[in-house]
Amino acid sequence: MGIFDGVKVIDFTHAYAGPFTTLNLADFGADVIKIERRETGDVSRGWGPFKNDYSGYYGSFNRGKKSITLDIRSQEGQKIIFDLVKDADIVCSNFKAGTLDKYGIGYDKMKEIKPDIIYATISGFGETGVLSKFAAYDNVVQAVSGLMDVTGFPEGDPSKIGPAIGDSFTGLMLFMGIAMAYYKRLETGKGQKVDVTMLGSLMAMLDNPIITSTGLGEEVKRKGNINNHYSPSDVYRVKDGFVTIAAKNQSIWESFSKSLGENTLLEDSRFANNELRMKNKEVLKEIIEDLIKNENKLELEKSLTSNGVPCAAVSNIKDSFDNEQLIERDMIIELDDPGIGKLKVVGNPMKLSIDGPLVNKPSPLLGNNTSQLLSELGYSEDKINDLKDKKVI
Amino acid sequence: MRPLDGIRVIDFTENLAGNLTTMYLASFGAEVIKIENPNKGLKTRKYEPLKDKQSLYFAYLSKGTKSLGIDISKEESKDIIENLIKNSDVICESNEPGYMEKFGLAYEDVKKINPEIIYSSQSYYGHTGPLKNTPGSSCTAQAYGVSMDMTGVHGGEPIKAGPPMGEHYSAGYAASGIVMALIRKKMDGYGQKLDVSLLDSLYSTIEAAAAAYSMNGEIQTRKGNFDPACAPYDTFQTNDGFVAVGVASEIQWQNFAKYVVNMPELVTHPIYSTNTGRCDDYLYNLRPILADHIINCSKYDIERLCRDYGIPSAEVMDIDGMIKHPHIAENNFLSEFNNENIASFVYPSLPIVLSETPALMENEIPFVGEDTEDILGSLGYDNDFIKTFRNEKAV
Repeated sequence: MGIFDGVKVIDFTHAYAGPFTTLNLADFGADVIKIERRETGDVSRGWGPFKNDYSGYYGSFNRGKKSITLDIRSQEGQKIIFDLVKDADIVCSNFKAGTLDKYGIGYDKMKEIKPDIIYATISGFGETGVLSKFAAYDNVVQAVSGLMDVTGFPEGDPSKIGPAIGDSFTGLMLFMGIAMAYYKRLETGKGQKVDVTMLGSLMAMLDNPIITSTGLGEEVKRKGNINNHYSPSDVYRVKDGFVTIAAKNQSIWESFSKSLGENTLLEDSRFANNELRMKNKEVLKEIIEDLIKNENKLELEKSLTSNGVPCAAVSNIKDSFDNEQLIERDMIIELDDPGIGKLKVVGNPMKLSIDGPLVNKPSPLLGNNTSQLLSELGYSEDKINDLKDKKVI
Repeated sequence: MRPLDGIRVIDFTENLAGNLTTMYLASFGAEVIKIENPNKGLKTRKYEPLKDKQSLYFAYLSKGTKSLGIDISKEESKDIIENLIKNSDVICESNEPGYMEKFGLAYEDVKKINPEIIYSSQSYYGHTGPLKNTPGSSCTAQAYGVSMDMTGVHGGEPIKAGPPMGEHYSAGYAASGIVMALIRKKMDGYGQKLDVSLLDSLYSTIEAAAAAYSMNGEIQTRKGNFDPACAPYDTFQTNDGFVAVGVASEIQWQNFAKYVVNMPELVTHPIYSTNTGRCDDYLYNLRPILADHIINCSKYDIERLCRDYGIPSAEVMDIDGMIKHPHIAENNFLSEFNNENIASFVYPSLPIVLSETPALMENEIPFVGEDTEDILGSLGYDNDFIKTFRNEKAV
């Protein structure tokens, strides 16, 4: 049984950040009703990969939700929204700051209709400030936050973190805020507004650089793949790919050196303790890479981990489908998508022992639930057809 | 009033992932009691940056928490811990799987003492599955989690995220999962275990890579700073730094070609007039054309022109530049830690803003064992008892 069973969410979110939030609500049982634009739907329905013209991107982040198409600017469309909100618990959106207010369906209006509503929003930069009027994409927020500047090699360009974490981390923060607000509402019976921004969320991830800069006045720069606290810890090139190794303490360093059959490393005074290894990490990397360059990544991973040394071959998506750990923990799941057919997506990391995530429902086709939801709200078949003719739904 | 007022958390965590989790809980009002060996203190008390031997990072992570100095390996401490468990709602731990068992503090042990307890574990790979006892680290979790393979330059080495991304996601999931378990407990009166791994958390960030491979056999791997789905969505070098640009619609593209890079001929170009054409021919042809122009521009000009024409764009700022940006102050994105006995620094505000029950940013942190007497007193132990234990070095 889902923790959010019976919790109704009116979901105006689109693209990636907001749908990531409501995905987590749906995974734990909430009845998530996606309000999608007529004809085109959520913009992510146009994002690849595609099969039969259906989007695997949309299919990945909307599982277990319902879809209703509506023109939210029309009066009759707004009437439907108000009818839906009457017995809803949560409203969620990720438009540019202020958009729903502009249409007359902002927090004040929603609260009038449902006084204990939890009204959750994501925006790029927040409602005030010089950047607030600009749209934000993940790469732009990674640039502004300083995240891009601290990722990559010192001699190379700033690097964007590949996956759009400006969206998913923000979506996760909003989910936490909604859970907090819902918990509080069980006690007080009162709703509230929950706001997160992409910029604020990525800054939270940069806590250490910000504290270093403001507390010590030190400049923080990108450092490639090394660890700031111990050495060796890096990504190394081997015969058939890359491995990462982390010698977190002296005894792991000793096991590592012995596993490579290299007593010379242990005897080398340049590497006697962590402080010296940090100081001489460049030359140490060269030596290690030379020692392991002809190794096979999976064999090296096996031999080092069996000696207690943290080591992992760098996996791509194909490799990850063979990772028994991910498979056993239900992190790779197969859905029967109504447009695509068999589709594999990532599971939910919140493994609760009794009320674990419910992840086996596919994403809806565009407008799949429009008629059903409207008739549940008491709209007659004639009225529904009339709304279709008027292009409201 | 904060959402978690009245919730008591016993905090056995001694690393970043765990400390971040309990920081969230404390910020939202929970009473977080850190369990510390009175002779050693927590490892996180030594986390950099340090100033006058004081860890600024620990100050940030532990603000608003309490410290119970107790050696859990001592027989004498058993009764105290049991009492504390009976009077708490949540246990957080982030030690290697198997560690808590050694002290009789695994979930199976603890639920016999308090069946309603919520028990949160965080680890690199998880408490189930074939890798549960395999040694891991922050970067091995990123390596298995595919996010590392997806970061870096096309054909170059994989790059780990600058900040410890797995720890941050894991903390976000753990704190959220704990609150969900609290919701269940409030409704139906039972507790449960939460098992969050860095690996699962990182794997949840890889967007549609799993879908793409399962649908078309496509391997989405690192491609530098550009996005495979729309172009030009990338970072370019300028004559005074770098600038990020996000073109994701046809109107944006037309404006970009005409007004930002002054190449109106690209709008009617047979290949570049469609997004598919721009994406397919991006890396080796379109990108160099744009890059050759932008390298002679100022990042500020590109940023301004893009914004004038509705195209998201920003110069790549360094940490110092971001901190000083006027927008940051206007939105309270930063808070100040100011305690003359400890340190002064600025840290990122909690990014979750609740209108009625906001998080509180405290300026106090506990020294090792600071709250021992108060906590033991609240559990009903008297001063003589505490004194005896102190002599035995158990508290």
